[in-house]
Amino acid sequence: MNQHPGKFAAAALIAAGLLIVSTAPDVMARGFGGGGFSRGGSASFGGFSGGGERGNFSGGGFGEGGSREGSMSANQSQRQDSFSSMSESNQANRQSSYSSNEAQRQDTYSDNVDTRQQGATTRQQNYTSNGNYYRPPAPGYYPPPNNYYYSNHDDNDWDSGSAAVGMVAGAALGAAAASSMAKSEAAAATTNNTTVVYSQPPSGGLPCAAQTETVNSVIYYRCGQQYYMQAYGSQGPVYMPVAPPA
Amino acid sequence: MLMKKKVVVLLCAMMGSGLSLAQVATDSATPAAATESQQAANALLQRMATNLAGAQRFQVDMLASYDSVQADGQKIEFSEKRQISLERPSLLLSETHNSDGTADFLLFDGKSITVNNTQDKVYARAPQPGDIDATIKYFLGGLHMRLPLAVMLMSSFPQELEKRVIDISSVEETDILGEPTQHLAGRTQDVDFQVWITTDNRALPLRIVLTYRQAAGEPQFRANFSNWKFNPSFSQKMFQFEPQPGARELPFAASFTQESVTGTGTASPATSGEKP
Repeated sequence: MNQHPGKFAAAALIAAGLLIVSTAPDVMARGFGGGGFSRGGSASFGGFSGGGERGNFSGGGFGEGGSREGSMSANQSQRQDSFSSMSESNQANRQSSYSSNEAQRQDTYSDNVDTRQQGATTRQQNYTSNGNYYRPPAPGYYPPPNNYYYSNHDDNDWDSGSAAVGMVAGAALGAAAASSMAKSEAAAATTNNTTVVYSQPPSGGLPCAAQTETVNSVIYYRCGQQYYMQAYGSQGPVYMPVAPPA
Repeated sequence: MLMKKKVVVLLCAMMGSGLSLAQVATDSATPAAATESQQAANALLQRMATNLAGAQRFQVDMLASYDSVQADGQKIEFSEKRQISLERPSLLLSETHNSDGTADFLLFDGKSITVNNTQDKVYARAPQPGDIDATIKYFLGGLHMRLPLAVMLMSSFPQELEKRVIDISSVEETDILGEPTQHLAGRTQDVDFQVWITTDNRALPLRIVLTYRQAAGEPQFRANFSNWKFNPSFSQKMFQFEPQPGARELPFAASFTQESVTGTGTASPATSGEKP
């Protein structure tokens, strides 16, 4: 049946060669496009502690160690490359470890903080009282107490980067991927009940050519029904998905 | 029958300076004593930390790289070059050139924290009166920002090491970056670290490698230090922030609330900070 094994082998080699040639541009594009690779991770923080296992941070972050790794690794890419929402359960867990610190900062709002911040204060207090959400620092420019010291977090791993995991986890990391470096596009997907993964921005850090709206001196970027604001994260400027302006 | 059990032993390796090392010994029926070599290693580590902590001002260049473990397990190395200028109690400037060509800096001026991205012409500021130690803790723990090896900049560096280091040993004497050094290897609860310290009186760290052994892929952070200066001339202008023309002020990402991110509840976005 196979009377010409030599020809068959040659054809296979040619086909393989064509395949390599045809895929080469993709490889090149990935290699030189700068897209897709996350710059994050526990080592990027360069802390003398790796965070270890902080039980309250189950699956909320991007891999600074401990038993969280197992559950995180599968979703790591999606979290890092995509916009996602926060897990309410994770936030609730984080709430306990942060609430006392945040309460201190809440008390220090100065009189010159604008009314929007006061609104945020009220909302945060609501979340504190019902205990359902992690409450990160209030937006803007609240003055922390003099000689503010992260005493309640003085547990030898404050420099691990795990705190960053605890914040607006999916959103911030997704937004990091949404920086201007992100070039490739990924399909929208849902990873679980609490994490919504949006398409990775094709360029410019947003998933679309966003419309810009300025409301009360705040710039919003709109893609469809989703609004974003630019913010400064641990990896630089990022876009944060936010609720529509009031 | 000898029953194996985990024994946590605190060994106080009392050296000349009265510094201690907490060492964990496992699977041992009897407490293990720190060897002379371990005591010497700890003493050198503490001397290095004490020297840095006691320095009123210094400047150093840091060439760092770190592994970023991708979802598929592939490790990608990124690098950055920093120049760190510090003057206690409250002034710190860390200027960074990242491997992707971007540049940014972090400034503590005793009144506020400022981060600035030159390429994107954006910056963020937060009030933070206080010394460098307090500001670093707030910057990392409160604002969730990034400052690699931040603990080395703190006046409490020796105490931070005491609290964290559970094992320290001397590996070898070796030349690195053109200087004779002692290569030490130590462990914290979840990080293995190696540090190369000059063997002269300065006890300067020339290289540090951190391995996050509990993180997926065991990524590393590596840094080489050069151009240590302990009497640099700083102009006060160095620590004054002047926004670039056209720069926009952004809020810190840490300031975004759950509701502002997801739009849940009756929320309106967490605002303020961004000024066109």
